[in-house]
Amino acid sequence: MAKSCNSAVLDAALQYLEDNVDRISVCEGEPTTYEHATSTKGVATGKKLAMSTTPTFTGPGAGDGGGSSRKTTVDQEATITVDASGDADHVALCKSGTSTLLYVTTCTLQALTAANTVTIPAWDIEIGSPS
Amino acid sequence: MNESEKDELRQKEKARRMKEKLLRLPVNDVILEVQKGVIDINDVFKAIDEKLKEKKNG
Repeated sequence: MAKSCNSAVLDAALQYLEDNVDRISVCEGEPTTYEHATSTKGVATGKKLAMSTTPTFTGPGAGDGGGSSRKTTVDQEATITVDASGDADHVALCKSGTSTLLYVTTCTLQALTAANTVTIPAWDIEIGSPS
Repeated sequence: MNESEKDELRQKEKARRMKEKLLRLPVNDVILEVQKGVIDINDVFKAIDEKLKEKKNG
């Protein structure tokens, strides 16, 4: 039996990110709460090394996986000031109004130094076809 | 609010954020290598279900 999903369903989920994400942060360790993702490392349970309040998206559009897969691109976030030194290995997307952690991905471990800047290149979030 | 009005608002907000991004200056800038996020369809249905519950609960 075949499974299918209209692209409008997947686009709604991706559009939810664009409509709600207003924080993008670089973290040391996996953030599992809003507090982890938005509080600076060294403050309470914070894991955030750097954060921007200007995330933007391009999409949704056809995914790379073929079929009915869909994706949205999180645009490059250049030269964010580093608030605390540490080893960046996660990137998180949050909604500040409801203090919600919405999405977390990984990045290749990279040492950051406070007061310098960090750039998050454009990256994709893709929802695959049903299987 | 209809879809075209929503789109217009989105475009305005994106333009505002893009403008703000341009004002930043690099200092010993480090460029991260971010892994693409792939979501399984089952996760999406769970998220939609949670959103519907959120709306029902006001």
